[in-house]
Amino acid sequence: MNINLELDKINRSFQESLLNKIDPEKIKVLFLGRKSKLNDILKNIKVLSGVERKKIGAKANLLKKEIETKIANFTSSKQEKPFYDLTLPAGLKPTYSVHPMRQIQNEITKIFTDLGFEVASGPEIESDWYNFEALNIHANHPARDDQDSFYINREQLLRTQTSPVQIRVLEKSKPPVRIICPGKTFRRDASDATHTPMFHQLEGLVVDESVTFADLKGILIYAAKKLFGSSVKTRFRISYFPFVEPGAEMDISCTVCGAKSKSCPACKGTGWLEIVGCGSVHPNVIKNAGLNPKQYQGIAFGMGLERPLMIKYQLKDIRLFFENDIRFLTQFS
Amino acid sequence: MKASLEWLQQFVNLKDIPLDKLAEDISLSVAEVDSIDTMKIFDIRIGEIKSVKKIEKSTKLHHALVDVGDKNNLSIIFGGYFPMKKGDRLPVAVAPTLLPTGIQIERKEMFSIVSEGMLVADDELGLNLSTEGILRFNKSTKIGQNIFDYLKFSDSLNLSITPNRADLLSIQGIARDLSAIYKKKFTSVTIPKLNFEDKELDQHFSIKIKCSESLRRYAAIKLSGLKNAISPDWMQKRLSSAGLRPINAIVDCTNYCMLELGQPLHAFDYEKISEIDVDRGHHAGLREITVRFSSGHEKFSSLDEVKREIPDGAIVIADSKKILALGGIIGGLDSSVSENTSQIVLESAVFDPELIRKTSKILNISTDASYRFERGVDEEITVAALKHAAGLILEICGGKITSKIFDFSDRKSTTKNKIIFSLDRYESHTGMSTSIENAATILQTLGFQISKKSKKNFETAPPSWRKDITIEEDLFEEILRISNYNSIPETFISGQFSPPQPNALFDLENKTASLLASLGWQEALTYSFYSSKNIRESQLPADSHIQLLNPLGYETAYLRASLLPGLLNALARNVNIIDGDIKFFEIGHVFQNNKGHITETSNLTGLIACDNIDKAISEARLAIDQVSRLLNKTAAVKMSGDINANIVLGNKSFGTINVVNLELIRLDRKKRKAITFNLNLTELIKLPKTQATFEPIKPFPRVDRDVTFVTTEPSFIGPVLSEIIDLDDLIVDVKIVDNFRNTDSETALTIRISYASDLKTLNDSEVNALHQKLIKKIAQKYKFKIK
Repeated sequence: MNINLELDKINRSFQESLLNKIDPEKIKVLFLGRKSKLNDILKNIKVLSGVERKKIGAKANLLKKEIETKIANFTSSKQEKPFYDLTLPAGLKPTYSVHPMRQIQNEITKIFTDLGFEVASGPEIESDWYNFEALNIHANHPARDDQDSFYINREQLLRTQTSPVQIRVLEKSKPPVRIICPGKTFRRDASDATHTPMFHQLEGLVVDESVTFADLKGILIYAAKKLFGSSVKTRFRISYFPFVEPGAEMDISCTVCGAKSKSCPACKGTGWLEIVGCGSVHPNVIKNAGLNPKQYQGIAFGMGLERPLMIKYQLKDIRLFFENDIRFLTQFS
Repeated sequence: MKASLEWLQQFVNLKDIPLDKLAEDISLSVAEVDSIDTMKIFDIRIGEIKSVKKIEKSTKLHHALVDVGDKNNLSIIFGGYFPMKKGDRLPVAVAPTLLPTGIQIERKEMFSIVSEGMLVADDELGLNLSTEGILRFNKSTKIGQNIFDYLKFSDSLNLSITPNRADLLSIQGIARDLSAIYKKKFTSVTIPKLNFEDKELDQHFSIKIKCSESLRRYAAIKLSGLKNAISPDWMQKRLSSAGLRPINAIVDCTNYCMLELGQPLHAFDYEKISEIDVDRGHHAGLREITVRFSSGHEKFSSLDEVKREIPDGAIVIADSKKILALGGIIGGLDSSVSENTSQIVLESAVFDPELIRKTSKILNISTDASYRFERGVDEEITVAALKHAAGLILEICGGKITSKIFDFSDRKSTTKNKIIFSLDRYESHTGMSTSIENAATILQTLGFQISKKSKKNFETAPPSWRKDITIEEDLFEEILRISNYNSIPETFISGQFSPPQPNALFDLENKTASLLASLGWQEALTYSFYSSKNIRESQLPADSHIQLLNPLGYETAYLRASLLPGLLNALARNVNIIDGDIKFFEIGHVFQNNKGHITETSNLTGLIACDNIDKAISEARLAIDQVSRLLNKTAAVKMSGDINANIVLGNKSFGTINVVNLELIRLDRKKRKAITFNLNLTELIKLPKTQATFEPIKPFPRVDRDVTFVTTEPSFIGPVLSEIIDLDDLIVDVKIVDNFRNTDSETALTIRISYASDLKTLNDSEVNALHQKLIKKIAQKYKFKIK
């Protein structure tokens, strides 16, 4: 066979091996090893005639060099590939959060601001007038039994409910008034798994010339579905708050047991969870705020915020919210 | 209020209504049902002992085989307290079951004998059913029957009665609402006509009223020749079903009438009423009761065997020598009815609710009677209840009536309040339509009188037991609740809508919270009060704090004037949980007392604990700068002491940044250092709004030049940087590249100054000349060496 052609064939075969990504070590043995064809040719070169020896020798040595370089390049290019670790952790632990209380407060507030309600706020130190009297809760009213208060002097106390904001807003604004008011409230209850001397409420109020109890139902059912999912069921039942008449309580179907368990700790087997107190604003309240109850009527509602949070996360101890254990707080994103 | 079904049935037929539905309907329209007490869940049966033998290895225990109606006899181990023999029939708890007292009965093994239940004594049932202490059944009973079925124990409902519904504090009142809901006949209690003969009347007894302004009604009757015993079974069962303990027939009858009709009654032992002294010109044997206000700090021993000082102005029932009862609240020990009592004065009265409430608050006693009087008892039932109770006592204890019915009534309280009902107003308030007939019928079934009825209106007078009904809206509630709130349609608010005004403080608080959380700060929530220890430890001024008049203990003594103590507590709770930096913040109201002037503001406080104090400072500064940016403002920090600085926006301080004293960081094994900052958000939002403005991007490249100043004196960097940036218009940025403190307390401060022009590309020589000039100026001013 023509040695010249033989060398061309070796070259083609080598290029193919490279393209086929055959292991460079194997290629090395195959093309440069002692038993390789190129090695045979080089070993037998001395038997060739002068001119041919010179020509073939040059070509064979060139090929050998090329094969050596290419194999070397191939292996070295593999070694120099840079190393990037895209699995590195974040520089900052992203688990820090706003407090779960603010989260639920904002979630509920937004439901109402999206409907055109304004966010109102009021002081946490309140006068007896705003906290009780103006809300139709007179000094010897038995309703005060449930609202043992912290006083700072004879006239001022820490508000026991967010309802005083109703009066403060109505005094300053001309209806239509549509407000939502989240905030801290205080009652003189010793701490236990279900009580803390400080807790949070959210108050809603609509006053206009023609707002009805049916409107109250409409808006609260809408909010409940938005908050607890559209499959949640609601029911309204009789209740009593001195500043509303008629007064009611809205329950939602138990989200813990799906109203299916007789021994459910959340709904105690009733299938219902008490969520929000509500009613038509008592005409005395409208009058106490300086408006004419013959012209204006209203609807109001108020809810505690700890309870829905506890239901949502199935927490058994309300004090967790105020203990600030970072292992608790960072679970709410 | 506990209401047994069996008792309610006496007034209204509820037999066709399943218990669950009844409970739900009551919750919807009357009062919330907290729980349903049903005894049938306890597996306690009538069992007959088939054999008994002593367990040899035990001193006390016996083993019995008991037939409880199952295929096999039950093997039971029991103590030797009550004698037992073959053929005895007793209450047997079949394991596994719960007892009414909450004890769980399980199968267990002792002395290689399995015990599959328990013989149940009265106290283990929590009931007082027998004199021996354990019930024994006769041979005619059915083995295996549930004992509560046999005893005809009724299911009862636990109701939370709202304070407006005093009428529901009686079985009759609840039944009346049920008759309206189910449109069923209401059968009231038959009040006996009390017959007496004039010759039997005791002329030696009289009653005097001296506090008529605080009495709505006062009725009494004297009964003699009584034989006080235990009350009959049916009465004891009803009392127990309502949670009252049977005592003796006379007392039980008064309690029974209170539960049935809502009128508290009291019986005085007539013999214990003192006779009026003869030497004061009276005949011998005269006894007089006076109902009067107390005065001069009178003392009295109440039924609960507590000696009390009665507040002046409270109503007392007294004889000529002593106080017999604290009117409407509690009876006296010295005039109380015992088993030997044969003559009584039975009292049925209505006292002024506010006065009762006041007295009961001062003395801190709440009784079944005071609870009802505070909420308002119907004075139209006072005399009927008296007759009802007297009739029951005479029936059970024998005896006769020995006085006329004494009856005082206050005319004012009986005037009827007329309310106009308008169908139009009903519909425009509730959003629900009804007919005038339906409205009238509902009210009538609840006992309202209807008059002057037209197509759209009528006039109505609420019944005497509904003192809570005073205005038209109260009528709306009656109609809505009886028709069921859930039949009201759901509509959506209409009327004029305009975009709501933003609440700047609320928005700033929320944006701040999200911002800081994303910078790695955790929001904390701490109580708004703290102790004097917190004030002292955090070195806060005590006199600017507001003290609570009635704290719940030392931990709620003061309203917080700073958020820092709460955050330090939060930090202490977490120092040994987290090993790196800890960053907490809180947003909340703080309260200050400035010489009697009370202020309340919303504040943001941050607390960062870190190994490296300089890192803590710059993290805090980043938070401050970012919060300022929310308002398009720039904050500056100006030192105000060795470890304190003010946060200044414009020319005014809005807060502080401080190094926290190391001793305030409690429990930290890693001994981290801490920085705190505070911003007054209420004040910040009062700043005039800054509009965000646009500045064109500089078209020519900027040139950076570094300089290293060396100083041996410690020097504040903040002012140096802000001074440099103001030195020349070509300077666009200044920042620290390095701040190295070596061991010789020499500081090398490397600063990078960036130059750029709006007009051209700056060339090197221009920049170098300017740079050299400026850094020399700074070095000279601050006595820096240029490296």
